[in-house]
Amino acid sequence: MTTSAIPASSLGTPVYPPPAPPEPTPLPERLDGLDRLVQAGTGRLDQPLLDDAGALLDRAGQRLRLSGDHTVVTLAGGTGSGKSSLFNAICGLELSPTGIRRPMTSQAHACVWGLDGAGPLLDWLDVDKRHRYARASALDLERPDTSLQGLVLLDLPDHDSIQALHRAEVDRFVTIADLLVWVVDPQKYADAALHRNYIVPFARHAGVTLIVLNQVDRLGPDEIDDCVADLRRLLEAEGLAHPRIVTTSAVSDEGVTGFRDILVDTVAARRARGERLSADIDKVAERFAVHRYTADPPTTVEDDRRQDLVQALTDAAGATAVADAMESAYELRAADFVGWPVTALITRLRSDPLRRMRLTELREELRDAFTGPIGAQQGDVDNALHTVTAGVAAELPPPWARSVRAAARTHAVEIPEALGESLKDALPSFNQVPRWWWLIKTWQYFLILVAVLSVAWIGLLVAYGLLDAGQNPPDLVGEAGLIPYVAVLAVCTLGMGLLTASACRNLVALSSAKHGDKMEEHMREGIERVADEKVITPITAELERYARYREDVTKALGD
Amino acid sequence: MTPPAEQSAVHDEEAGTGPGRAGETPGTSGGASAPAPAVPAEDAAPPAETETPEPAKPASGKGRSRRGRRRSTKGAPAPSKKATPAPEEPQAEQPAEVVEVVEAPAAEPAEAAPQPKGLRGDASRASGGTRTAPRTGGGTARQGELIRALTLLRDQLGTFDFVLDVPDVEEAREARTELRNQLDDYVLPRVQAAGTPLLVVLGGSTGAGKSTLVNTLVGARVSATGVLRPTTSSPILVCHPDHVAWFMEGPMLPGMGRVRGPAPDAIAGDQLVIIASDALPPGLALLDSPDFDSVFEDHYEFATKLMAAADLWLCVTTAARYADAQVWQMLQRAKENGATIGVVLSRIPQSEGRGDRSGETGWGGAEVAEHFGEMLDEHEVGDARRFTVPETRIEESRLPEDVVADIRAWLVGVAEDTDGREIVVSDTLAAVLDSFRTRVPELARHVEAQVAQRAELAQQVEGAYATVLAELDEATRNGSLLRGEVLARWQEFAGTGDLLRALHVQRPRRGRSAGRRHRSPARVRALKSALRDALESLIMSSAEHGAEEVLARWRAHPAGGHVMSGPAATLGGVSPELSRRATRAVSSWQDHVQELIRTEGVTKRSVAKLVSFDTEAVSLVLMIGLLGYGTSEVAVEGGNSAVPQRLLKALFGAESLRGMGAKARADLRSRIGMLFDEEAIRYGQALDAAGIPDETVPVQLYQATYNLEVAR
Repeated sequence: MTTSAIPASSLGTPVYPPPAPPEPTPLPERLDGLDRLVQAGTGRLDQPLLDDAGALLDRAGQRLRLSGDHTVVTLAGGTGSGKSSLFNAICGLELSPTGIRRPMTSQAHACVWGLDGAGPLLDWLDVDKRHRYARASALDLERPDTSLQGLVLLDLPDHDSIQALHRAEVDRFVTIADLLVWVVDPQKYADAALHRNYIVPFARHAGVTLIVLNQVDRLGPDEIDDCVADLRRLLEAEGLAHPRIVTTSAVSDEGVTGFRDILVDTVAARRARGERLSADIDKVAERFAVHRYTADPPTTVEDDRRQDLVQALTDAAGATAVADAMESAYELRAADFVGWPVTALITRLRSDPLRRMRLTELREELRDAFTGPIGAQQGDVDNALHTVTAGVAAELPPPWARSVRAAARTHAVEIPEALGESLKDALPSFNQVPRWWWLIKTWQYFLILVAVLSVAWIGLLVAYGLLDAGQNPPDLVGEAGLIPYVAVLAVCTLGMGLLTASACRNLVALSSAKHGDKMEEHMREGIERVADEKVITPITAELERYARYREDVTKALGD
Repeated sequence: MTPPAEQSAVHDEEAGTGPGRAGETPGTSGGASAPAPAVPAEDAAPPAETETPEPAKPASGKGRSRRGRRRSTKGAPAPSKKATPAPEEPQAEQPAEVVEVVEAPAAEPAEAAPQPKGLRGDASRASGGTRTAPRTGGGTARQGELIRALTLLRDQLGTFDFVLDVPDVEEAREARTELRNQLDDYVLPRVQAAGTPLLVVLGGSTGAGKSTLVNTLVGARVSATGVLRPTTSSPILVCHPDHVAWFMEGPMLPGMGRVRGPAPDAIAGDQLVIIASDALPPGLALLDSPDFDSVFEDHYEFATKLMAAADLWLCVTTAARYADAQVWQMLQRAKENGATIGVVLSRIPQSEGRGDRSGETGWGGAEVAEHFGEMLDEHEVGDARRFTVPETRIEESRLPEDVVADIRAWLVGVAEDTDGREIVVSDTLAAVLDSFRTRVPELARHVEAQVAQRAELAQQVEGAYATVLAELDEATRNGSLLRGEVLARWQEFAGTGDLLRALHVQRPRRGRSAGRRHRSPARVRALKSALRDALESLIMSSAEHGAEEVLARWRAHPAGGHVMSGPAATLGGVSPELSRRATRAVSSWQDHVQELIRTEGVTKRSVAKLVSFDTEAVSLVLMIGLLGYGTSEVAVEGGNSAVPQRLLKALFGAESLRGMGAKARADLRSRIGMLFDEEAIRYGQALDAAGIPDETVPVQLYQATYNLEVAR
């Protein structure tokens, strides 16, 4: 049985897999995108994903710096599937020991066609110096090998034997090879060890994966077709799109020509390195893409949520209560000016529990209680911050929803303070004393003066007019008939004072209500500023970051 | 499942009525060896005579219960009805060989490679005596006890789940399933029906030629062979026609369906295909099991299940695969499970056809076999019986007869001889029961790990809420609540003189200032509700914080993943009714404080004469004081430190005030603590719902192991 490459066209010539997609995004750009994804994801996404992406970035950077003229091809497979025999058949020399003891090969062997620049590459691959071989084409007169110029063929240990070290070695090479060749044989092609550990995880790498069904000399011609069909079905079921399968037999020279042809093509195309890396990037980028929803993300918090936030912060700062308190203080202060001193005097004279409790000084302290607003309830603020992102977060993938919530809370501790400050800024209009208060105060004392004078006048009238206390009193004090008039005057002034006081109280109440409204408005503005600055801005910034993340995912995916 | 007693009665009858070779067989086998009389002798004996062999047995060191012996004849009633069972089999040699095969491990593991038989007859026989000794004397009562202990163990294994993803949990799950399956599929049926045919299970890698080997041994194409891997997908059991009925209905492998062979093409994997074949001697059943290393995971499950059910496990591997990790894992496992193991190394390359490899014939085969032997010794399964099959042309899905001759001879030999078969069967059973000694406690340790994880998760909940509660406690003390609305309302209440007016309340209500008094309760109410709101939102945000903390801790915990994705997934934040509960708790606290003032606030006598007060207003003053008025920067800025305290002290006296303060604070703390307990309970319920085993499970497992030991 000789070789036929499959998918076989009618002529049995190896058919190369579907051509690369048109104009893919250049590799460096995708890597840049991935780099930004890692940066954006730090602290937001799972650490394993970030680690994998970081490792890929390192690996890709190193591989891109190293020789692009060489294509690293690994021969991997289970014990006894004939990797080393195949390796030797391609090399044309017995370089890697073969035998029937299992496991046979325990260290990777490398054979290089074309030495220029291969040294650093092999160092990077970390192939033991004793197991490096070179086929310098010029020296190989017997079989000119120029066609394979640039090939680095690696014969790996098995991945499924009892030697666990072998598997580690295979894992290492499989992650860095440009072309993965899986050597299977009719006996082991359905092994779980291969499929579960390598084929499925590397299903994305279909473009740089080649399945070699070795030892076909053990099968009959019909059996080969059956076997290949079964293998293909298996691979496709595992998500390997258009698997390339080639059959070989290392016992005869012709048996490996099909495989060799594919190697020649791959090496000549020099695309494997890029394809490999781009498949790697695909794989990682898709994991990033999970954390990206297709729907356009919101750019900021919805307006009604924002209104709710402002309202909640207003409540947290107790703006209404502060305004009420300020109004009370205003009215209290106004009463000092416009109140009717006589009433105050009477109140003073009533029995005072504080005095009896010897706590008179407390009264003054209580009157000084109006110190203005201080801070806000942290609990209310926290609750408000908790709800503000609910709408936005629902539209985001979980890690981003978490990060947006965290962003909303970055300034949580400063907010009460800031709210208090912004309320204080709104106060000054309350602290001034309007000029008319002084006028009223003057007027009230004038009234008192008049009343006092009236009383004195009545006194004099009584003394002179009725009792004839003095000689020749002036007309004004001597005329007893004036008494009723002066009494009316006194009563009128007293009544006028009371009237003035109550009228002014109403005036004060009006203006304090006006001031209160104005202050609440001011406070609201201040609170809105705080909300924007401490809450909305961080959220918007985070949403922007997410938007950029989405773009970078697209870039890293390369489509 | 037929109760054992009934079964044995039936067998008695069979044995008793069995006609046939009574006369001729004792003659041939009687002289063979006393310890292992041939099957027919037993068969033919009428019930009364069953006693006769008994005395000989204890003497031979192999005596076993009368019951066991009687039942052991069950597998072989058929041959007695037949004319002559395979006369070409050298009967006299059989017992010796069987003993050797089974007992060789104890004797000389190194020599276990296929060699001329009989060399080690003496040694193995001696060791056979010692090994079988412990099995003597299993009366019916004892057996009932054993069955009870085993059933109990099996039930206990079903009562829990390994739900948390701790390291090694996969292994534990697998070990548990394996134990249960082995109990159901093998141990219980075997204990109840000791005399049933010897079940030889062929397991091995895909493509190793298990089916080909079965076909060859049976002499017909009973199991499909081919180049496609994996070939065999449903297990195929081949046995003598007389046993078909027993296997169709029998207690072995109760979990699997039965299909009478030859197999239809499409069979679900869990169907056992049973095929009758005259080519197999009675007392022997071959089971071609699916591979254990192909991409189909259910194959692996069946392979391990069947391996655990085997009296004798024949591991078939090939020259290309014998170093596969999977092969050795399975061998190791079989050994740990107590199976009696045989290994077949097949497809050993012959030199011809692979000309460039080696010149001489058989060179490669010898090297591979030798290396394989070394590896077997290295992995401590060197005592397994070994066979080799070279790579040859396969015709009609069969190998040439000569390459399987020694496998056939061995199997037939074991099966033909009742006693030898018994030894294999009971050895395996004993080894399996022995293995329970380590396997069950091992499992219990895994359960303990789960229990420990659960305790850790529960502790995280407790810790998170304790932290939150401590923070909350601090916040209610240090004055941080006296901000915003509360402060403003307090200022209004205190500054406008409403507070002082509250001290006059007892004065005759002549409505000195009805209008103004109307306003004062409004301020009191406002302050009260501001206080309530503040406390409430503090509780809410603390609870929210606590919930987040728990989830974050669980997320960070290695075992938390399962609980997070499962029952705790719905526990996003605080419970929906918390807000209502918090309101209720705070307002009832306020009522409580007011009540406290009313009942315990004995006014200082000197003050009481002069001043009375409104309890509601004063209770607010007390609350403000409790929340830390004057302890923080609030007071410093306010310049009127500790006004409430001074006022209250003047009213009640320092001692009474301290008492009330302490009571009010304790009451608040206990109310909030209760709220948080209810919150935390939800996580406890989530843990419960996750089905993590509790601490009684490992204890029960240990107890079950102990019971088993006692019952044996």
